[in-house]
Amino acid sequence: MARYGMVIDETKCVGCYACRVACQNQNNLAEDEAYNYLEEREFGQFPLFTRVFLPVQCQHCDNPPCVTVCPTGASHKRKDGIVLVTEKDCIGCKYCIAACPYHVRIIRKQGYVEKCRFCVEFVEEGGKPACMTTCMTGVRLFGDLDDPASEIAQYIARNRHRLRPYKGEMNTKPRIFYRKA
Amino acid sequence: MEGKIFIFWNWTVAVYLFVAGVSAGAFAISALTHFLGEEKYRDVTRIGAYIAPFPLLFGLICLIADLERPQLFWKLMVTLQVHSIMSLGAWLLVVFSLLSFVYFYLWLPDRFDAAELLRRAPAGWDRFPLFRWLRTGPLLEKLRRKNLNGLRGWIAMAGIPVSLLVGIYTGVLLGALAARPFWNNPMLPMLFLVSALKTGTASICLVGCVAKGMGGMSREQIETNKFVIHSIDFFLMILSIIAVLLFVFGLYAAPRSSAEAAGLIMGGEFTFLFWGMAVVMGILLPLSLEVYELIPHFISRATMREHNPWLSGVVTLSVLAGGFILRYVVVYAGQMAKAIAT
Ligand code: SF4
Ligand code: SF4
Repeated sequence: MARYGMVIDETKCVGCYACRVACQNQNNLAEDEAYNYLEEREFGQFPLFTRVFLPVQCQHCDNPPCVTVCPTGASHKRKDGIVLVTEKDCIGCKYCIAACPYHVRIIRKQGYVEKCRFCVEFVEEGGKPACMTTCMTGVRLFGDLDDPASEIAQYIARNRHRLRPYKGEMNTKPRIFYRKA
Repeated sequence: MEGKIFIFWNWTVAVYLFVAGVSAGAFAISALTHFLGEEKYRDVTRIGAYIAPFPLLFGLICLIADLERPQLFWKLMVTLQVHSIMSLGAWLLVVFSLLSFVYFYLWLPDRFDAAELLRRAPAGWDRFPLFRWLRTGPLLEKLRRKNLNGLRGWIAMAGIPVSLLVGIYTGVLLGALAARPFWNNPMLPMLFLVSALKTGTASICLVGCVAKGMGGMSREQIETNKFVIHSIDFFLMILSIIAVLLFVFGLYAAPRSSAEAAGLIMGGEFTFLFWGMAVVMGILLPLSLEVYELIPHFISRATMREHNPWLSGVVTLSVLAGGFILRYVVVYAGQMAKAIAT
C-alpha cells in the first residue's frame, strides 16, 4: 500500500498564489473558498529584512485530530494516508474545524466541511496534485514515501536533517514535510 | 477564512453549553436534596425535578440549529464514535434526557398517577394487546404512588453521576482540543461543572421565589428550603472562585498555552466580560449577598433574616447571567486564540 506524503520547500516559494488558484479550479471552489493558504512571515527590520511564505494545506496527519473528534465518522483516514471527508455524512458540526491546528478546514457553501484532498482522483490514476504541477518554482514534491525509488523518498533521504513538520509540538504527525528557510 | 481565525461557533453554542449546565445542575441538586432530607427539602427537590428536562431540550434545539446541515442531525444518533467527545456526549444527553423526564414524571402531583390515567382511557383501546397488558400487568402497580419514594430514590441515584457527567462533558467538549490553547485547559471542565451546579441551584431558587411564589408556604418552610439552597450555593461559590483562579493559572502554566490566549482575558478583548461580568457579577456579588443572609444564622445562630424576594432575585439572576457570560467568553475566546506556530 502506498503511503502518500509531500515535501514543501519553503525557501523556493515566491508568493504568487498560483497553487491556490489551481486548487480552486480543480475543486470548483468559489473565489473566497480555498484549501491552501500562504502564511507570510517577516523577519528583521529594514534594511536587514526578509519575508517568507509558508504554503499551508491539510497535512494529512498520521494522528489526525479532525478524524478523532468527528462524531459521525465523516472525516476519515484512508489506508494510503489521505484524510478525506465523506460529504454525505458530514452534518456540519464544525468540531473538526476547532480541532485542526492548521486552520485549513472550511465550510463549503453546500454546508459540509472540506479541505485539501491531495487531489485524490489524480493520485489514484498515478498523477500528482494540482498545486504541485502548477507551481513554477517547484515548491512541492508529492509521492509515495514507502517506495524507495520515488523522487520524494530520495529527496527525504538526502535532506532529512533539513526537513521539519509544521507545528510538530501538536503531535499530529503530519505527512507534509517542510524545508524551512 | 482558511488560515485565519474565524468564528465558526456562535452564541447558540454558548447558549447550549449554558442550558445543558442548568439542566444538569438542577437535576444534581434536586437529587442531592432528596437524599439530604426527603421530607424537609421537598420543595427544592420538586422544583429541581420540574426544571431539569427543559433547559436542555431548548439547548438541543440551539445545537441542531447551529449545524450547517440541521436536517442531517440524525446521523449523530445512528453511530457511536468512541473517540469523539461529541458523539459520546450526544448519547450521554439521550440518557440524561430520559432519566430527567422519568424523574420529572415521578414528581408530578398525584392525579398523574399512570394507573389512574390509563383507567380513564376509552374502553375501546383495550383491543390493543399491548395496551391491555399495560393496564392489567404488574408494571403499573410498581409505578403506583405509594411506591414512589423508592423509585424517585433510584432515579435520583442513577441521575447524579449522569448529571455530573453532563456538566463535565460541556467542558471536556472544548477542553479536548489541543489546537485551541484557551480551551485546552485541564481546569475548564471543572469550571463548567461548578458553574453548572451553581446555575442549577440558582434556577431552582428563582423558580421557587418567582413562579411558585411564597404565598402558600409557611415562614418555616421558606426558611428551611432557603437555608439549604443558599448553603449549597455558598459552598459552590467558593469552589467556583477557586476554579476560576486555577483556570487562569492554567492559561499561563499549560505547556501549549500561548500568551495570546491568556491575554484575551487579561487586558484583551474579553477582560471586562470575564472579570467584570462572569466573576464579579456572577460570583462575587451573589456571594456577598448570600453571606449577608447567612452570616447571622451561622455565627450567632440567630434566626434568618426576613425573606426578601428582591435579594433572592438579584442573587439568582446574577448567577444565571454570569454563568451564561462565562460560556460566551469561553466559546468566543477559544476560537480566537491560535495555537503557537513554529
Ligand atoms: S491538517 Fe488538519 S484537517 Fe488535515 S489531517 Fe491534520 S488535523 Fe486533519
Ligand atoms: S463538520 Fe463534518 S467532518 Fe467535521 S467533525 Fe462535524 S461531521 Fe465530522
